[in-house]
Amino acid sequence: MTVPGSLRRTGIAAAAAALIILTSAQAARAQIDGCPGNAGGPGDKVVVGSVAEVAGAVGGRLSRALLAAFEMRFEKADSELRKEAMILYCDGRRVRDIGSYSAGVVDVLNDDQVLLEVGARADGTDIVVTYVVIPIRHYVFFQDGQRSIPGYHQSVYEQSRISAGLQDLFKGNAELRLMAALALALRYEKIADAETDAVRRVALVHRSRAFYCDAIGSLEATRPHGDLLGLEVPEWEALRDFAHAGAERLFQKATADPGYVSTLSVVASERDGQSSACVS
Amino acid sequence: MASDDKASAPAAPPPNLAEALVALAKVIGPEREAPSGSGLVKMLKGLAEALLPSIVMFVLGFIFIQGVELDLKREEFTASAADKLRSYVNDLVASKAETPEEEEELRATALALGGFGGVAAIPLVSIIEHGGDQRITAAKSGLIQAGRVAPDLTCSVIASVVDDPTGAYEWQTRKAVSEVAGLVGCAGAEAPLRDLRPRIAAIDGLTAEQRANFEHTVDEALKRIEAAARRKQGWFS
Repeated sequence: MTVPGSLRRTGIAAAAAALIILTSAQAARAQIDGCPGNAGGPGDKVVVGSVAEVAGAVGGRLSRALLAAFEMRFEKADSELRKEAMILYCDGRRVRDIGSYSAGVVDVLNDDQVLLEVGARADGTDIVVTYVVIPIRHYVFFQDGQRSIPGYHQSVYEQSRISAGLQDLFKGNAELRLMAALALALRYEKIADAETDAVRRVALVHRSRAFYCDAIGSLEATRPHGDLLGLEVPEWEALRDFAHAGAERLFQKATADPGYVSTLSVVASERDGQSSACVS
Repeated sequence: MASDDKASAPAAPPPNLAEALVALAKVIGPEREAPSGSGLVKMLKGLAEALLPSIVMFVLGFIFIQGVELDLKREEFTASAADKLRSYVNDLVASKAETPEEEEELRATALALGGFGGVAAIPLVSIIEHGGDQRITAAKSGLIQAGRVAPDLTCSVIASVVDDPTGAYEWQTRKAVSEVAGLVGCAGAEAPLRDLRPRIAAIDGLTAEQRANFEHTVDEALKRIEAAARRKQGWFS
């Protein structure tokens, strides 16, 4: 079979173009736009978008201080965010509008084990912090079609509260803790669903439930106070319902497994009649 | 008496115009044919014989020149298309897609690249392999476009990526391309997808969640390809 000259020439150009891409590619797959080279590696990640818009030029010291502000402990899961995920400051990435987090983009980020993307921007005298909870946006919003919980949430803070520096925006931030706990809870739930080994599955169900319980523990601190700061009321209610439903669902999964019930110190019959599935 | 006979006989009908013209033609005919052997005809005939080779050469030359010009134009078009293809690829690789406008531009460039059909398939797969959440999403749109423009060539590239006999591609690339195979309805990718499905569990470095999502994508792609094949059969049956 003979190939026409024009097709051959365009084909050569295509091959050359592919070569350009391959030669310009870094050693590691640059999966997350605007993030450092190690962002494409394995493991869960929390991506912190550029804060240059609110803090000016971000030097090494500020970026380290920002990352340090992401230290938080999850009591029920007996873990820390740093143990669970790599915190990445991505100077070349800004948290974008909700429309940018399409099903395709979120699918890529979920495959790359991104748990949460956080970013801040100024809005008059306030600062708006955006939280994109990737597993919720991927599984709950796009796959399950639950429109009340988009996995893209914004919380408003007064700039005056950030007295000691921008890192105070994230240090001890209840909303951040709630979002991180929910992201981890759903991530562990999905891993548990896919796990074929029964023993490992039980451990994963336990961890997922524990993170839902940590999220429930953060709810009160994030409750909107009607001063237009913090989360929007309908969003907070949707997140609250999601956390409670998750904890209950995982509790049901756990108690459906006779081998797992014996590891719970308190089972359903011993609970005091409250709705919490987190007593254990 | 005789005059009475004449008078009593019916009068002959007057000759009509057609008969009159025929009679006239018969009369002048020999005079019209006379010049056939004249010097004028001989001269014209000789002239035509002398010019015939030149006329034939002129026509053949004209056809040849037109053909060469067409080839040159085609080459110019191909060179311009190749330049465009390269610039689209550069734009896709270099784009940061930080703003919604840049995201739209990225997607438009990928769709324009996909418009080249099969020749764009390999660069688009390479862009998916290169990575970047916005870039991958745009390149997938471009690959779907290429699949619509030139299904055979594009599906052949898609099938080779799904098959990946040399292990050249990341699992994310194969997952993305598997999804495109379903959306385009690549019948040629069905066998590689069926072959890949049980082997996903053996791919190194995947979490249980990633494995399950990859398997789900392949299952969905197979469903779409089967549905497309059924519809095709339906049209022809």
